[in-house]
Amino acid sequence: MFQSEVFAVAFALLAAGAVILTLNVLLLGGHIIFFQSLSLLGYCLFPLDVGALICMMEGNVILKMIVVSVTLAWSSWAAYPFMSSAVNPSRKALALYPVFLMYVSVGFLIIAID
Amino acid sequence: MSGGYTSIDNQKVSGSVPAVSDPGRIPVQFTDSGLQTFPPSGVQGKISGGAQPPRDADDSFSRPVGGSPRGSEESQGGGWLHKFTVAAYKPYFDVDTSDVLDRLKESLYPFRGTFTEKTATNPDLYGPFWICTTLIFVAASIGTFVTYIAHKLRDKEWNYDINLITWSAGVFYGYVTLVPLVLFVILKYFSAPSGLVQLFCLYGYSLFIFIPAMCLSVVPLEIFRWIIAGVAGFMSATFVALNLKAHITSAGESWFLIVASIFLLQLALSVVLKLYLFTVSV
Repeated sequence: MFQSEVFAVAFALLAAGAVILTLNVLLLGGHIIFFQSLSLLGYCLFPLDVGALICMMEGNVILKMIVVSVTLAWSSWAAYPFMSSAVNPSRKALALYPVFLMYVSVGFLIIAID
Repeated sequence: MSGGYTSIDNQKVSGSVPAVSDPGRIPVQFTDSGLQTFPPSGVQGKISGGAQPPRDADDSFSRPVGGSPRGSEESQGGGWLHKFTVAAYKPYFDVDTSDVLDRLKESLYPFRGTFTEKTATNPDLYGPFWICTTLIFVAASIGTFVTYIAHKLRDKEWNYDINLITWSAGVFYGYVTLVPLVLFVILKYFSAPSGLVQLFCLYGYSLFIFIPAMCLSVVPLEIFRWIIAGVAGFMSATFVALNLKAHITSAGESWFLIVASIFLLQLALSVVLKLYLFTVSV
């Protein structure tokens, strides 16, 4: 019961998040291709996957937080060049913040779910 | 078919009515609303350009340069479906980073009352949407963290409550979507000038104060949490009320009632948040 809810939230967060992020860039007047952006945001999630696997085998909350922080920084760093070049420089932060927010919430899910 | 349908950025109406006075109407403020379709109610009516068909006050607010697809033109079918394209909403995201930061800072000073003037010509939907989304995340994570700490301090079993996310999503998105809609309808009923997107913008930015308030509510002192909730609720409610007040005094005697109920509603939201997220029963 509980596992299926967690799965639903994680899946919805990632799927809807990728679409919304892409729409966000398009609405801000940026130039990206819809499916390219979806696929890129998916691939940039890989470091967080690695982090999640490591956290699965750990129990200590502090260690989990460190692992998640490192992989989160790595994911954001991977997505940064693509997103920032897609929009007007004066709107860079507006396009990047939601990406960061999504990865942070995924990271939070990793830490919180045992 | 006119070029206006195929190219994204071409919002000009290729058309029938020579919109001579249109450019003059673009930077329109709330109190300047001229043409209305309701019987006169004390608002000054400025009829400029007799050949122009009467337009709703909200149209000139929520759509810049005459781009509203009206049924009288050849893009009638396209007009209805046009709402589902990305291009239809681009004008509402026409903000730079500095604009958004400016508006966020403005929302922290509730007693200035200048927010609506600043956003009258360029209301954005970026701020409201992402502030709500951030709020949902912050609310869910801080609420989880608070119950986690409370359970750990008493050495009890703790399980992640997934309903926090869905509940806070429902509350925040619902509040920012429904309350401005209802307010818009009420203001139309009283023939007061209003714009739907401006109301969304106002409500969205008014919720920004709750983000630092929730971060501060981590402190496990009950009285401190109530104080934070009260202060944040009061600031947010004053922000909405004062910004609304300056523009709807023309609604007649009931303006005070509207403003007061808006104020109380925002306070109620703050109390509900405090009760659900930060009242821990172990």
